[in-house]
Amino acid sequence: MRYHGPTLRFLGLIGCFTSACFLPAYASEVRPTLPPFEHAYEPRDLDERGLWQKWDEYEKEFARSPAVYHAPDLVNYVKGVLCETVGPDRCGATRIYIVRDISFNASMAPNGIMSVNTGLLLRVKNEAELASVLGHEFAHFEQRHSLNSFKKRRRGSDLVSWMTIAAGVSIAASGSGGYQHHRDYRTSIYGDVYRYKRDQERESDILSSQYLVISPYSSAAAAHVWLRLLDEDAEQARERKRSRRRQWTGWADSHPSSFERADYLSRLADEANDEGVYKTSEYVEAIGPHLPEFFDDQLQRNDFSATKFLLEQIAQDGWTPDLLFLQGELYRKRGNPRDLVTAATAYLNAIEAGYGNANAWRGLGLSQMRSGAQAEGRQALQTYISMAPDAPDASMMIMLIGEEQ
Amino acid sequence: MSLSVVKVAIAATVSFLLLSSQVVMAGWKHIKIESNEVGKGGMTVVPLTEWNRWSRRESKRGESWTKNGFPLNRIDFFTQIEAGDSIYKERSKKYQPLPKFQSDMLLPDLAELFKANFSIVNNATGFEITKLEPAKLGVAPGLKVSYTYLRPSDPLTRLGEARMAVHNERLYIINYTAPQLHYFDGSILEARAIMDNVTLN
Repeated sequence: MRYHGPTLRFLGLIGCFTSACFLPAYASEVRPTLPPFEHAYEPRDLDERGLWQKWDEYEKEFARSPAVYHAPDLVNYVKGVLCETVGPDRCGATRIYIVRDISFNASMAPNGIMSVNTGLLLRVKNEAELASVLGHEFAHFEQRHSLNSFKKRRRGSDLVSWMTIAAGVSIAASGSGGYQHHRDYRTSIYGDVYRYKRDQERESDILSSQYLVISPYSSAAAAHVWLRLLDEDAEQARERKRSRRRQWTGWADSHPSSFERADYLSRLADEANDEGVYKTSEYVEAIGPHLPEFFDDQLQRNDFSATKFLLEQIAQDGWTPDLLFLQGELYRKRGNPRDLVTAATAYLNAIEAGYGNANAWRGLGLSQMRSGAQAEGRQALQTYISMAPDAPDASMMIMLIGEEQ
Repeated sequence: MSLSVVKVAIAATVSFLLLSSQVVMAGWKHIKIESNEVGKGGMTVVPLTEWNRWSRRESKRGESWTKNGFPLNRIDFFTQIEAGDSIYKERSKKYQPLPKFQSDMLLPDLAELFKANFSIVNNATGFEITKLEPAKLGVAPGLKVSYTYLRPSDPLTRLGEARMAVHNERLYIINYTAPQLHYFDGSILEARAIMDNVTLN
């Protein structure tokens, strides 16, 4: 399913705009075939062995961390999508960890740890979009970007150290002009390190796009991820009266801007013109049982407009009882008088649609009581208590019902 | 003296002053076993053992104590929160706005207000209320919230217990939190005693 948000229309209007204009030639060099894959790769030099050793130690602790979301069905599903994307031989080198973190992010360590945040799973809409992010992270692994980036940073800091000594000698010999030169060189070296990191990100995006072209998934999905993030940010920016983010790539940015990524990824997809699938219903089915937990973290962020945008994106194919309940929670938490009415309606709709969890009655009762409908609210809370007598807040609700009588 | 050298001298002086002020800002005060006015006089509490108070305030009229360092145990006092104010200080209205206390909130809404404020400020996820029950904060009727939470890069499970009440139309909260491993049990009884015996001013 294609994404048709406001930023997509803007992207179409401006045409070739960002550094993506330079990408097709770059892309065409790597497009025909994937890099050669070496099964059971082992680190080769001292630096790489050191990095792997560090991450191996980290993984032992990390695997036991309570922040890792332990859901074997979901981990297997994500791993399945990765294998479908990069091929079963390549994906065998990775271990997937789902991390309870609300931010949109995933990461890849040089020894094969792939971390996927729950905030990312909440924001992608189908398997193809998830595949594009997993493919991007796998590309970092395949191209050994962590090692190369480490070496680049070390070369940069070595150079800055030598330049500091040289500047000291220069200042002593000829006055303060040496300091100015030193500052210029240092700025240039730091800028070069950031640019190198951004180039690695672009390289991973391009390789991920190649994986998608070869896989059953549509490569067009990659751009949709970034377009939707831009639209989510626009919603948040409007509500918080701030300027929009991720529009332009800055000097010290580690990644290209979302806008730039959407631009060149959509161009690559247009060139590939592949007929891939999106697998939306499969994704919704896999993520569905975990959605309320992931969404609860998002609901705590006091981020009404962006959360509403997310919820409406998920509900594009229909408002399920779960989604109606979450809509009620969203409006009740903001708590304006009009919100409480909307919340009560959403809870009632959820119950009518077959939402069996007692929490819908809890939300309904609290919304009604706070908006002044005491009798109805009390009745809803009584239903909640009768459905969930052992609920963690049962004694509080019983007190509330009694207090209002 | 050339202009660049003057610039370097100014930068060094400013850095020194900033560092000095950081030291002052992050000062510690020894809390003795005696009657202590906390949160600019918003509450009066008597600890059973000695604590350390950090001078940086998490809320307009609040303060934070610890025994072994904040990652290991901490008790936060939030006093006299008016309608329209957040529980914690809102440090970035544009990027991290906090939900505000509203005078029409029901008691369970206060628990949810605390949950959201706490989650945003501590970048917590998986905040689960394990028990929500009526309780008193000092003599004021209110509620007790027992909870667990996670932090994405934290290898420990953390527990917390907060007591809150609305007194004279203003919200008061005492919150104790520590890792489940060893430290939570180490001071929870004293934290409860402080919550039981607090005087709300």
